[in-house]
Amino acid sequence: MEASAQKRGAAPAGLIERVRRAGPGTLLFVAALLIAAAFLLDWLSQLTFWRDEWAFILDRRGSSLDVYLQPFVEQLLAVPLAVYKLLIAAFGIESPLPFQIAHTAAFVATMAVVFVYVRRRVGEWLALAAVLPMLFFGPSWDDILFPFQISLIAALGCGVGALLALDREDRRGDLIAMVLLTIGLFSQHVAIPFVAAAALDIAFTRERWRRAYVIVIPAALWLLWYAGWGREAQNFVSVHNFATEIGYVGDGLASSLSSLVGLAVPRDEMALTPVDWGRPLLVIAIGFGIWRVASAGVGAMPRRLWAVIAAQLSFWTLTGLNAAFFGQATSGRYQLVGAVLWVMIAAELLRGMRIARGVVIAVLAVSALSALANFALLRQTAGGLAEIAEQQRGGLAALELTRDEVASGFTLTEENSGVDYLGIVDAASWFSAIDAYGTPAYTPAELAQAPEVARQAADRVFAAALEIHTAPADPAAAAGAGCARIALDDAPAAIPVGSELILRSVDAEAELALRRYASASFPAELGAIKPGQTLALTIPADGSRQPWQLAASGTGTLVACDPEAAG
Amino acid sequence: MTPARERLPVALLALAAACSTALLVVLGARLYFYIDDWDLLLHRPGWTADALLEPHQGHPSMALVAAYKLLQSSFGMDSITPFTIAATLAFAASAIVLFFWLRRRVGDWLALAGAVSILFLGSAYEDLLIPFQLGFFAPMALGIGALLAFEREDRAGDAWACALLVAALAFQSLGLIFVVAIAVVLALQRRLRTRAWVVLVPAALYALWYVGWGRDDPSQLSFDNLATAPGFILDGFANSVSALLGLATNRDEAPVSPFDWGRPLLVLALVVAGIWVWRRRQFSVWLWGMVAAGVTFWFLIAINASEFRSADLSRYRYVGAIVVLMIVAELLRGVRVGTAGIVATFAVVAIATLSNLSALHQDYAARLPSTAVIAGGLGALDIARDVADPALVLDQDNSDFAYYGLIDAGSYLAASAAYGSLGYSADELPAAPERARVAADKVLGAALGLRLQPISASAAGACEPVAMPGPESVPVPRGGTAIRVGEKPVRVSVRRYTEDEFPVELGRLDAGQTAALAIPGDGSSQDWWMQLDGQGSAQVCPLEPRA
Repeated sequence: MEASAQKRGAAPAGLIERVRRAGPGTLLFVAALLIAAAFLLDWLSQLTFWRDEWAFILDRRGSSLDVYLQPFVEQLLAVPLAVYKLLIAAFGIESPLPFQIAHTAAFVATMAVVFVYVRRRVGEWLALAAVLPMLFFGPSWDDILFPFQISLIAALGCGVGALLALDREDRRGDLIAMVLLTIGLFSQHVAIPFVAAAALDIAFTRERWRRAYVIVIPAALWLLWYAGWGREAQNFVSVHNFATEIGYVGDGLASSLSSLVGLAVPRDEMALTPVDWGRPLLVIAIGFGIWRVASAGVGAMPRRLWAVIAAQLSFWTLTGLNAAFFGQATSGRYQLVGAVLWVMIAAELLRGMRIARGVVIAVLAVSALSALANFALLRQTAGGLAEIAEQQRGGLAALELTRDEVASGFTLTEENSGVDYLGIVDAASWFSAIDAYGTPAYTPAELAQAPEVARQAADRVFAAALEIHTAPADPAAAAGAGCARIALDDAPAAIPVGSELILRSVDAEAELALRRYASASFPAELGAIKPGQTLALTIPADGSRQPWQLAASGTGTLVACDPEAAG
Repeated sequence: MTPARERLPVALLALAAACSTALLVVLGARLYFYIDDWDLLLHRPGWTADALLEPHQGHPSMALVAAYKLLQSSFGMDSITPFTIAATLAFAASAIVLFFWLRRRVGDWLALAGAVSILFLGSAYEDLLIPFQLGFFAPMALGIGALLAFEREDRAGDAWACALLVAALAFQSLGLIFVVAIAVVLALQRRLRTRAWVVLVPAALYALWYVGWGRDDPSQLSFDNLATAPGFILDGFANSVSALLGLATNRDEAPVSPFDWGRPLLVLALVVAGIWVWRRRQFSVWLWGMVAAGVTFWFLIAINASEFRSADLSRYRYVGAIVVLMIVAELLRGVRVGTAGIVATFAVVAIATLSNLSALHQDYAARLPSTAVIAGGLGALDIARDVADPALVLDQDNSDFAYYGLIDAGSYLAASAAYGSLGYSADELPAAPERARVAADKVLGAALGLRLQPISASAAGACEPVAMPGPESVPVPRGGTAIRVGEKPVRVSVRRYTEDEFPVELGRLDAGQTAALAIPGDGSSQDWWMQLDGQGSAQVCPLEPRA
């Protein structure tokens, strides 16, 4: 009892002691990490679920083995899927906050592991300089601002963690490494290069056969998965990709290098690609590496150097082999992995080297400037994603308000909602999911107060879900009471619409469009009316009482008739 | 070295400067005032404090404004040549003082190579062909002069340096880079306490100007510009390096970006310089002063960057290249370069100069046609002097040239009355190139307020049919005409000096409509012609019914 009380008391005392012992570079890193986490949570809190996350939520229902092990595109994402399922079961999907917190925690943990790895080799100040630009890594915004990428970040963190565990060179370290590599492989394929690195690292030791299980067990489990599920997955491996690997790998290395030093951030006035600065920097980096190895001697270099170089090369080689339109070497989501591996290579190269204080200060200054540039890009992107989130919440609210009318196979697309849902969100899956887990969409009251982009997205979805369109009508229907003549005179006319409207063009040639919640535009396009034409517009009733308005923009005169008013 | 051999580099420099000046004056004299020139020529009337102290694009420009005023009052503005000569002389002066600065560090021959590469830096064509860039040349000459004076390390030298810095800042904010350079040198020498006044006086005067006039000018300063400034600065240096080496010149078969070669070369140069600094350890404090000057130059542009202020622009290459040469000179200070090294340097300079002269000619040839357009448009404005609305602003639509809102009829006509005009006269216009006549007709259409005014059919006199359908041209009687349209709409356009087209579109007349086209009298006796284009019929009638 007393001993356990002592233990309970010892934990905080130990933590305080550790903090007290931590150097200023480490404390600064922790402060920067907390600031990064705060910014990330603030930006993420303005977002909602997006793209691939919908596939986790809508398409991976149930708890069979297949649900977890079916490849996602071509990847094994069992661990992140399990995390999503756990969070959905616990919190539902009304708020994406739990998912965002989990993602941020994974990112923070991964960056901490990278810091520790580098600190052990080159000290805390250079470790701080190495990690700082990655804490606000704008070029990889699609990893950092997208909780679905907890898969990549977890795999990356596990990979670096496994190499760190192998540093212990004891049984416990090996076991930890094996577990982390397994979790990494079941999180995302990004862990494969780290398995290769660990294999090479162990192969250089005398106890290679005794320690082989560290690699063999995770690899065997992954191969089992591949034999059972993975081999049928879609992939883009081709002879052409293989033949052009050299350029892809070079560009990948170049992109991640320029991203790391903040030179892949485009400016408003000038286009910039990550390879523009990356290619010359890569040549210099290779030159420096060769000089360092030649001057110190190959035998003097740590064996881990070859392992992390192998990880970097195998990462870009595997990515290039399977590259397609969305998998270019300059794609943002790969840059974080490339940058982490660059930092690890640099740490191994500089290990044991005496570095002058002035050089450390200069590296820190460059790192701070890089972090600032990367932060600017991350901030810009977060603003754009927040707008997409508003559009999603508006569009999904509209979908829910049309629940009694919309066809079950209706699918949200960029054309009918303003947002690319990758064809994942269809009405039937959506309603089934929200019945089970709640909805992140705006309520009708919130929709009326939502930003204009959200209301525009909602109007588009309303029009598509209710299949609102014009149809040819009898000209005789456009006469008598309830009809009004409208001269367009190049200024668009806004005509209130009930459940039905008959339009007859006297000599008008006009474009027709509808709105319901939007106020600055008429987002739902209905096509044109030509001189002499008569059209009927019918609007089905749904869950919203918000009235519709029709805009007719063009020239000439229209007659608009409300049959209800006439009756 | 014999006295004759000692004088040879200076004599060659004088020859190069004379050749460069002659070339630039000959080319520049065939061009016309460009966009920014008009601000100084038209919109700074009188010698009031505001006329002198109002910022131009965020910069102090009192000395530049005063120079333009002096030139305008002495020579008028019916010739661009005096302005071109003034700007070119300042340019040559900047290259000459650069030579003296470099000579103290790397010797006569390498200094000559550096100065020659600036004298023929054709890829900085936006500077070299526009007299307004006196605003760059003068502060560079004065600033380098200030550095030379400051190096004397005596009271008179310091006084001169201070005065020259003030003068440089009076031309443009560009002078700040020399203030920063000297401040860094003083800080590194730990002599701020005794000599800081050299930079404090100009800095304080600049701050006073900024508080009084400069801060109200629109600025592009933003967090994003600040955060991405390091990349911009590196791009700026890359642009300078590729320009110096003649690698920023466009080719016909493929566009060339200054960064294509500039970035790899800059990275290589930085690595070589880094190794050099690391191994040599000791350098003059001026190295850091010049690095600070270069970084300040690009940083100030970066934080205020916009569509018109990007790191790849031609107009920044002149300053960027000079700063790069000054940094290189500091790195090589005290190094003995043998004959082979000097010959190799001159070979590189010769090849680069050839490429840069080609860039200069490319831009000159591209600019030349617009000279006729400007002369045609402004000549037309002079012709319409008595009728034109003073508020009329020339733009791309009404003059075929984008003046960015800097030419309004009131200001231009007042200035041309006082100082003359470079525009074609009414007698010259018929023989001018077609593009000049098109511009003239467009400006006349706008200045005379030509438009179709609907009138009642009875207001037109005895009408004569026009052969239709199809486009048909008819002369327009003095004073104007009326048009009566038949059963189908007709499009109406007019011309005066143009021969191949009807550049002034007056719009469409609907079926059955009658409209008047009134043409006020102006300073030209040239007749107007009208084109009617439609599928129906039309008649033209005297504007006022005959008695």
